[in-house]
Amino acid sequence: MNNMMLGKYLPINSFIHKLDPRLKIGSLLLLLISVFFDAGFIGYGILGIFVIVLIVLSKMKLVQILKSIKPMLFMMIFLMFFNLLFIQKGTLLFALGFLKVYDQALIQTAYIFIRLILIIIMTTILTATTKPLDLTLGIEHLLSPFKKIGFPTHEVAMMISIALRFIPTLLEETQRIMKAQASRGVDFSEGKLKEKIMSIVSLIIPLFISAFQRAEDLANAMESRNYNPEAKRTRYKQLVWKLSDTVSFVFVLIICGTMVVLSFVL
Amino acid sequence: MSITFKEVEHIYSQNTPFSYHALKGVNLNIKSGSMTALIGHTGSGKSTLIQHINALLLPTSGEVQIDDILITATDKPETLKSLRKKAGLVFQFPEYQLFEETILKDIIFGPKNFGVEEEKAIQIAKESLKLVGMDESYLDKSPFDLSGGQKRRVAIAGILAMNPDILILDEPTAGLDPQGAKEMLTLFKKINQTGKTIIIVSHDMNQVLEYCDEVIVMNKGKVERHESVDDIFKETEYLSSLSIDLPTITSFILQLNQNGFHIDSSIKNIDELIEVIGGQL
Repeated sequence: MNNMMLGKYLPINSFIHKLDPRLKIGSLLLLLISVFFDAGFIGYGILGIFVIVLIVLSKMKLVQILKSIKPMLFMMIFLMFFNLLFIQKGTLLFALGFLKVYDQALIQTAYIFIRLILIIIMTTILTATTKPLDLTLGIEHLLSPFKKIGFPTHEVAMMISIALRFIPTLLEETQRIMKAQASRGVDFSEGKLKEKIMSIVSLIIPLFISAFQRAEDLANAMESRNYNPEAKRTRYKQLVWKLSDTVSFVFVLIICGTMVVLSFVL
Repeated sequence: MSITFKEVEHIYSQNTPFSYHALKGVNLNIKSGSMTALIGHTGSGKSTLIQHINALLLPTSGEVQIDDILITATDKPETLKSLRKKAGLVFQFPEYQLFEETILKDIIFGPKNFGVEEEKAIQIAKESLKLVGMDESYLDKSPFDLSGGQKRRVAIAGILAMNPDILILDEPTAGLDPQGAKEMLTLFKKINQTGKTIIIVSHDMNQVLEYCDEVIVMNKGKVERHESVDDIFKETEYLSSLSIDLPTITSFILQLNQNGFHIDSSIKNIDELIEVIGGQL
């Protein structure tokens, strides 16, 4: 559980860390979209180099990136396996009984692999370099145009920030309860199916009870401080758009533009 | 049932920016049948230390020996289950571990995990519940209908039902009223007198003085003192450097002595003190 890298903030002082969260969220969206443009291996090469530059700039260690890919590995292999077998276009490369592999399938599978890796790494860079609260602040700012059509921007942002705030708390709680139940002889790693179900029940029920308890406490604490979602709020932390943000954004636009152009040219 | 720590180090999240050195070269020998208090500030490594005793945490280096079971960094003992049965660990606010529909089911959960037959386990459950001061009428009730203090008792009964040789308690009286705390500690003393080793993490020096025989002081991941209760409270300067208060009665005796009395500062109860003062007046 301690090795969970997915979505964890890494407190390092780097160029990427200091960028505006609005820029980072916006850029991630644009980059995610451009990943799906079929720009061939040249396009993915460019994007790949860009991502490597991002990793270097964010001062993250390669191990941390790999750790974030690990939990998705099973899904990736599953997807690639089916793509390889079910796309039947192009020339037949080899056949093994009823399993036939075509060259187009091979290329498509490679694309999917590259796309998934890029998506995971880019998302990891965002969450690892942006504090959860800054992330929410960024989302709130980006959503603010929708306020005019009655979209509850502030409530959504508050919900997201509460959810993010309680992820580590709940993980800690999970670990605590696991240890308490392990002390009562529960083995979480081994055992028959029936024992496994029982051990999960012994974890889930106390976890739910404490989560609801916490939710109630938090609601009471907010209410006793007269929280009102409709009230006009000011912020201690103001987002300031700097020159480095503009430059970075232009750079991201160039990369995304290249991807789109390449996809039409090729 | 001797517990031995040899050069035990523990580092959380090693090789990450979150790395934290919690135990630094801990050497320790806790005698079987003793009632030992573990004191020290929040973050001094108390909880990390006790979790090594039933191998919930493995040492980063060094070794822990519980009787004939050896725990080191690399090999998780094959006999993990028998170790967990031998050393019962009660966490802080153990009421959070309750999950069954009835109190009976919750108490027999532990023993059943260790292979005790259901009928025998039910018998044990009844005895444990009585031991923590609740009667059999509670057996069929839901643990979630109880008050906080009662939940705590049920949770502790669940550990007692495993009949561990070593009982480790992390601040068992936190959040209990004085009467409840006293009953709880009297119970642990009673269990200790049947020959079991007891380790209590505590912040209340009055409790330490009254119920324990030995004291381990931890500071910044190191064991700094391991002495008898009588000796530790003589080191007033050391304790005040850690801002640990003296027990009320000890501090009172010291104040008397400053003003011309000559009273043995290891006196633990008020009646004895009155008698001694009477003799000198």
